[in-house]
Amino acid sequence: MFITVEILRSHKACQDQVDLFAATFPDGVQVTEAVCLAAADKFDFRWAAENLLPPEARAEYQAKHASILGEYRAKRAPIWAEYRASNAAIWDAYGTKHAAIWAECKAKSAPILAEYEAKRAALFGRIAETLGD
Amino acid sequence: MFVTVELLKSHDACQDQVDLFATTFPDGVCVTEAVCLAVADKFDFAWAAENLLPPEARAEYRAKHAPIRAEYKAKSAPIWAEYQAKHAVIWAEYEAKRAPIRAEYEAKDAPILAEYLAKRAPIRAEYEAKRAALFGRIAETI
Repeated sequence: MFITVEILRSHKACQDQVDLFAATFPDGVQVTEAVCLAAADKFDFRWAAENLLPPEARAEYQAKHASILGEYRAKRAPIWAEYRASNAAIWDAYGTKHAAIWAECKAKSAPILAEYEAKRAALFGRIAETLGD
Repeated sequence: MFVTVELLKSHDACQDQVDLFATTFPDGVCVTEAVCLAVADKFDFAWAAENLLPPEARAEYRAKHAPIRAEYKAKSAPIWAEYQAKHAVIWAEYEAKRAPIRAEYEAKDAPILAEYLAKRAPIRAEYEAKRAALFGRIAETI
């Protein structure tokens, strides 16, 4: 598979990735595993798989990618849980403080919202009255 | 204008509003300003204005009542603007109170988050490398 800037544009790649590709591969590139590995942290391979691969190859990619993604998520899960556990107390403290000011905001908004809804309903009623059955 | 459950259903009103209408006006209702005011906080008058004001003969009705819809839109615009203006003050006050609380949270969270991101980085890099290699291997066959 040979990829060029024109191919990326024709598939509506985002401008940042087009610019990066043009700077990295000004004459296009023959895609190989080595080339992709060298640019693994630069290009959006999820987008590339969904948009550049033909249907059969895309299906193969999706099937094989599922296990790679599952492996990544499994490895990430314990450190995410560790983060959430470490963060829980300050998150709860924020939540408590935020709940108070949010309740205050909603309480202050309620009467002006009710006033707005009443005026809108009255306007609808006045106009509807002129229509008859 | 007489509104019934059947009329609401025929205009694809959402089920919650149909149920509420059926409970409030089981025999339908002749719409008046007083009726609307009494249920101002219950029914979706924006939807009603857009969907019920036109009669069954929609095209004919729209032509005939375009000025009425325009009147509704024109008159409702300042009502909405008034609400927006009042709400903006309350929202600004909320944002002003929220900012220091959020900043305090983010300051305390920063080292914890940084530790998480540092631990995640090699796992993420490994995943990205495997993903890129998979794409490359498949692309090589094309």
